[in-house]
Amino acid sequence: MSISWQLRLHSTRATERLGSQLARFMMGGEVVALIGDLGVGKTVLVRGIARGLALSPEQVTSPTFTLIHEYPGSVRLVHVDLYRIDDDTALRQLGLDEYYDEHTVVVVEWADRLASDLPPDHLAIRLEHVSLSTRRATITAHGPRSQKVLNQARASDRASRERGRARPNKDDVS
Amino acid sequence: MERPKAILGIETSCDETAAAVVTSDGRVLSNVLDSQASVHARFGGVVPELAARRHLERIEDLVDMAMRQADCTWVDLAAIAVTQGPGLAGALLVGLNFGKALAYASGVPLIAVNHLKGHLASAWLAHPDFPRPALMFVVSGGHTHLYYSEKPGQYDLLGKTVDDAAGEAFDKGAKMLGLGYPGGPALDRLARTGSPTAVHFPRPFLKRTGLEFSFSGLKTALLYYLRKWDGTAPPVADIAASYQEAIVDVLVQKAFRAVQSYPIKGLAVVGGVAANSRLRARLAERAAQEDLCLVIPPLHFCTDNAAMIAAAGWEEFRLGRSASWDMDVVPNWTTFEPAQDEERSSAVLC
Repeated sequence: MSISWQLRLHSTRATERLGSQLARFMMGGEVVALIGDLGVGKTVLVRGIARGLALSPEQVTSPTFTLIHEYPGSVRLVHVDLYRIDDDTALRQLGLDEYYDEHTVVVVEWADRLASDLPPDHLAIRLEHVSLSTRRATITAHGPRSQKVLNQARASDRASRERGRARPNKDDVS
Repeated sequence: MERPKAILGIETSCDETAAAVVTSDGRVLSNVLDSQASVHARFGGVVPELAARRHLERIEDLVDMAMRQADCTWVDLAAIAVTQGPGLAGALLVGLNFGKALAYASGVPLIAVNHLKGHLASAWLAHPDFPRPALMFVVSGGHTHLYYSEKPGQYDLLGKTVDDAAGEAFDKGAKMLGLGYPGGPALDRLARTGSPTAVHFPRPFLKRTGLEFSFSGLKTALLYYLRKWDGTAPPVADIAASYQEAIVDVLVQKAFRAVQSYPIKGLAVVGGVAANSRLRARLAERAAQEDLCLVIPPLHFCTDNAAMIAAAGWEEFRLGRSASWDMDVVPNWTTFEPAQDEERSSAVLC
């Protein structure tokens, strides 16, 4: 059984905020499968995840040239891009298995290439273009660990909206 | 005859294992590298773990080759300079520890070099009398950074990209246009046959007064344009040329905006994107108008190499900076401030 949360993001700040909102509830061991076109805000979302994990978001860049980026911290962030990999042998040789552990949040772009090799418990985030500045995010939790993160993030989002002053930054972790 | 002292530079931050020997007067006695391109080609990008292993296999040979070609022994060395960061943790560790061990065993001082400072120092290799104060521009796959440099080894950041680097904009644009990998050179080639004014793409941040850059929106503009494009008119070469022109326009105009705001005698443009033919032509044109000394190092100094690490090593050496034995890699080094202890320990690969 998987649950989904869909929301509209009206700016890059909103995209970053979503990342940070989710990451605040990650303890390490989570896997995020990030799906979306070029220019849809994947790197921005990962910046938010870095912020939520109390890592400096400034250092996050797209893993375009080097396929795996690592950001050490009390919870480590690993950001992977599988866009150009299309053969199974290459995928296996990438050695992704070595990055999954209880102290690491692994974000995989184009995770559909992994198919059944993707850990069963993962949070799938799909970003889609709605207009030049607006995106639609669909977040689906697969497995209990991801579900917990999604529930907490959603509850916190709802609470801040109810307070009626859901401004970016205010409830971000410093 | 007494020969000038030399610095051995070692570079392993990404996918080139490189070693070079450079003398105090800027002569490159040797500059060798082993490109791992073939190792990573099937992945379409650099795989950190494979890069580290390959460095380990090649480092000893490369350093030996550099020393032999330079006809150098340890007593000829003033120092050994190694790249400390930024770069891939595992890859950096190989060069850094190899250099450290060499320095320790041979009794030669060890110098830690920021890879970006290496790129900046390549201006000195290309032009030993490069005038200062100067504006120095790093444009590569990972960086779009504009620095003001009063003297060698000292760089003040004036502006940088807030999102994608210029090289990334080239690469992603090429990817969307179906030009293969690496995309930058392919886009450059195709653009030569197209019209740069055929399609109007935005010039991000050009209207803003500061010296910050942004290329993410341009990438999105291309994506939207291609969604509506019918696949034939205008020809793909025109789109490539127009897209490239937008990137180049922003780079050139911002650089010369900085030229006008500071008392500058020279402009150096370094990094992989400095190989772009349109950027080179436009920069040369503007520099001639402004009567400015423009230095764009030759390609083999623009892409990753160890001669630039040795050159930056000289800059650090002259400023009296040397590294301690407990110096460690700093993979995500974002400033030129010396790495803090805390930052260092957290930067170690687990």
